[in-house]
Amino acid sequence: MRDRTLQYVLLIPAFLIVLATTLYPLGFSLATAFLDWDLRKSPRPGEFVGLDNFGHAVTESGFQNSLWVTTIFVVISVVLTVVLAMALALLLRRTGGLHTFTRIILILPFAMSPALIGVSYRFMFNPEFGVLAKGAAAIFPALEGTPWLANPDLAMGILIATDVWHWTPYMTFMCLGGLASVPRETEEAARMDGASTLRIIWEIVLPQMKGVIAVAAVLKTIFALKMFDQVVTLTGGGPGSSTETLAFFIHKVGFKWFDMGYASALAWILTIIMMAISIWYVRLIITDKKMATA
Amino acid sequence: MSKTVLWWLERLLLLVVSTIVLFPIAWMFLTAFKTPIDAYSVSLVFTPTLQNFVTVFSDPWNLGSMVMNSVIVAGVTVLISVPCASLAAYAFSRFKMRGRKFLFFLVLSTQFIPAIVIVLPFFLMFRQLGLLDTRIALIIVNLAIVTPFVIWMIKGFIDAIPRDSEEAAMIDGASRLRVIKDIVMPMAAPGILTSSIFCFILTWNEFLFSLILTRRDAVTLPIGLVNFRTERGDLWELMSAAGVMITVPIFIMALLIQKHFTRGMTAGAVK
Amino acid sequence: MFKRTLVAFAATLMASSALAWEATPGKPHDGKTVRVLAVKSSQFEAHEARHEAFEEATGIDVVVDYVPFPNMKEALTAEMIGGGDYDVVSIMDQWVMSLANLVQPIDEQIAAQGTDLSDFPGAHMRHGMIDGKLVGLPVRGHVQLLFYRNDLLEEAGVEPPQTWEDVVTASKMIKEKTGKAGIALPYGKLNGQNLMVWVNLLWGNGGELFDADGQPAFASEAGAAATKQYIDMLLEHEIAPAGSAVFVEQDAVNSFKQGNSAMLPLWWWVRSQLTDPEQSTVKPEQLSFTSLPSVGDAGKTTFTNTWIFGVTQGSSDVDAATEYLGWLTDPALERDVLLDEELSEVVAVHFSNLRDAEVNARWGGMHQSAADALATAPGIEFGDDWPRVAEIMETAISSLASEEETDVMAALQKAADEIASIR
Repeated sequence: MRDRTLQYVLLIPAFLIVLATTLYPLGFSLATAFLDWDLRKSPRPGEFVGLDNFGHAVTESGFQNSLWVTTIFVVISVVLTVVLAMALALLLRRTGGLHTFTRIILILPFAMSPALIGVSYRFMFNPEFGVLAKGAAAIFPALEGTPWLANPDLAMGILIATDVWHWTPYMTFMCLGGLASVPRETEEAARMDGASTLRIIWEIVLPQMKGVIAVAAVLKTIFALKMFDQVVTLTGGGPGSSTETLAFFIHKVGFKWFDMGYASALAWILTIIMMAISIWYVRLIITDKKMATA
Repeated sequence: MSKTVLWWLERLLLLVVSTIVLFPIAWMFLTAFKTPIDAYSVSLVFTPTLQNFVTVFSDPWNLGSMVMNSVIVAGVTVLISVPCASLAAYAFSRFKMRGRKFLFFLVLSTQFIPAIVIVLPFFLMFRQLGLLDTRIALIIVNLAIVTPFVIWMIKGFIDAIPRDSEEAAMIDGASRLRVIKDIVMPMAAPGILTSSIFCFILTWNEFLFSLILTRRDAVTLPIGLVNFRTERGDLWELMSAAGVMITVPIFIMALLIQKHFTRGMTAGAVK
Repeated sequence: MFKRTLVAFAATLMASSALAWEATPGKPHDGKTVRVLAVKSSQFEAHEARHEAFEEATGIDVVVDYVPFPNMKEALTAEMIGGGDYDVVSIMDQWVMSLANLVQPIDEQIAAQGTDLSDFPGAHMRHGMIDGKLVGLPVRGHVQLLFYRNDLLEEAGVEPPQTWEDVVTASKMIKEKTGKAGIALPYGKLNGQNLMVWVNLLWGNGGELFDADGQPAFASEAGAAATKQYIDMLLEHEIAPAGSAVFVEQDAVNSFKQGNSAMLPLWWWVRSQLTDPEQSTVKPEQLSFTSLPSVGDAGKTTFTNTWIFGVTQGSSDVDAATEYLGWLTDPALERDVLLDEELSEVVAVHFSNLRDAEVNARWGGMHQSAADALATAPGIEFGDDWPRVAEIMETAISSLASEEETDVMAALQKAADEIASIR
């Protein structure tokens, strides 16, 4: 088969799987965003209301709050996760008993269901019997009586920490996979020339890892923007509304307020934000120049 | 700094990392063996019990019936999704076809929308097709969810593989498909394995669609897990026991793959 | 099977005041299937265990699917939109109005079943009505009680408090003498749980949630006093457990069960778990209960919680479904479950059972006090926007408790404005 045909043939199975299944639901939700669909009044979408649902979002303080919460959450958790994962991968690609052990246990946090993570951490930070709350106070007496999840900033910090704890190990795997497919000759050569380890990492390894890091970052960004399960089970969006992420807010609008039209509009606003971010990432990754590795 | 100090520093760092990773999980595992009265207290000393495991597998929780569904749904999803995604990833990585960026973007953009607003359309669609409460419906949904990510990830790994050996083989007269099969895929193996784990875990833990699209026959483990979030509150000791049962299979799988993973890495290094 | 029928029969004889359900003669629905969507609850599972009697009497096959509580609303919503998968659904009181399109009027059919509606307390029954039409019957219902540790109260030398002012004084004594927190209260955010004690304070202070036009009326002097009273127990008097700014109901229960708190105002159904040796350090002889305290000499109040069972609009056979409802709401069935020694189900929604001597003997008179509270409790009018309204109010309480907000009146006014803007 000629490459010109082959290149599209290779795409067909994956595209069939994805597009055939998602087109209808996506179209449905996009249409809903322009309709009045108050579930309290009708189980079916109602009349066309133009951009009303979107206009609503602009003035809604709850939406603005969740946008702010999400921004903070995404920026901190993505940066922390990716940096830590890359650092850990560089540490773990070396050999040694402890290295292998760490590599094996690393899959565990990611294997845990997000809902269970939220519940577990909530109990572990319980002021009366939580092992982390009590443990922290035992090591640092000044922390005794810290209102962990009752303080807006601390609650946000804990939410981010649990998310980083959940994702970093997996991202480390990705980086390890990336490191493994990168040839080591250049590195060895540089080492022979007496370059320091830090310099080798910074000037040789990291540039080669650019693609994998970007993939990790975009993946993490998408999941962070859609952060939901842990918010429900860890903080319930509180205290006040200090940890209400966008996905949490959208769920609230859809299933508590029962305003599906508005919920869909909000979801599409989130989608547009993601598109903007992703376009930037795609530009970064798919360059028409050859990759730096060659 | 001397070499020995660095050597010890590295071990210390790994020990800290391992502790941070393991401690919460170890605590969850311990909780699974506690009676409720011990689960909600600070005491470190407790009499272990297996009662929680008995409870989660008996009426009315019946976790056992969900294991098969989860295994089949996650297994089939990986088996279909990873090969298809690998091919697409190769095409995206190596060919500069027209509309490449657009297509790549299109497939990923299907995942931008929060599940919460598409779960009802999915529900209506599968209802129309008569597929509610079937594993097929769950497999279809999960395929749609994971495939874009898997393409994206595997593409990253293939990008990192230098083209030299591929080009050499083609000059020697090997066909493109042969090159993919014999050269690219083996080299990308660690990455593909990593992506498969990702795909499996994501499907294994998928909750919202399973909640809305299943009733009785196709219910999966995550639903079993949230069953312990009751009117009475979250039954942590039972959730932990269920959590152990849900996590252990993945852990075993990871252990098995670990060998291949290391081999793949060595292969990459030796090349 | 025969034995069970016999027991049910005997129970029917003893439940003297209420009319007993009887299958429609001639098994008109023989061979049909009634599909039920119910929230996961041991009470409903106890009903399911008794389905055989119903299936034998009517020839109707009953199939029940259970959904965990936190996801019940989503499941009901999907059924409302998709329709036709279930004939009978369980709905919590706060959702009934917003799920109006899910259920249908069943006045006539229920009348034909001979169900005695006057046996249901008004506070429960009102949630089965939409615009004067009957759409569902109460099957599960709760009132609040004040549980307390009689040993701790005795040690502190205080009497069981009758007013909230007493609660504060008693708690301070308890803390001084025993080192325990006086009263475990939920201030955190989850399904409006932090409103349920607060509302009683509001009523006791002479306030109301809404005025006659349905506009928020809680941003008043009474509302501010009630809110301050509630928050002060945590921040000013420090009689609630440390950290309870994030407590949800379950955390308050755990605090009590672990012996860290002396009092717990909560739904009556938690009682059996409070002294369950598997879960709790509290011994049965240490646990007592009384009605919820009042504010000063204002009357006693209680918040209520009700689950109704209704017939869906998409039901393929309304008559078979209501036949099932008739059986399910038979006081004799409820009594049979209440007195089953192998179970510890305390929930009753029929006056005939609440006042039943044998039931009260088994449960230490708890049902009689519930009956007394229910006889006068008005219940709350939950509008179709209640889930949203409750969320706004619980956020206000949560912010005050975590000191994110400090001005009580301003927080209430903000919540009231927000509610007014959506009504």
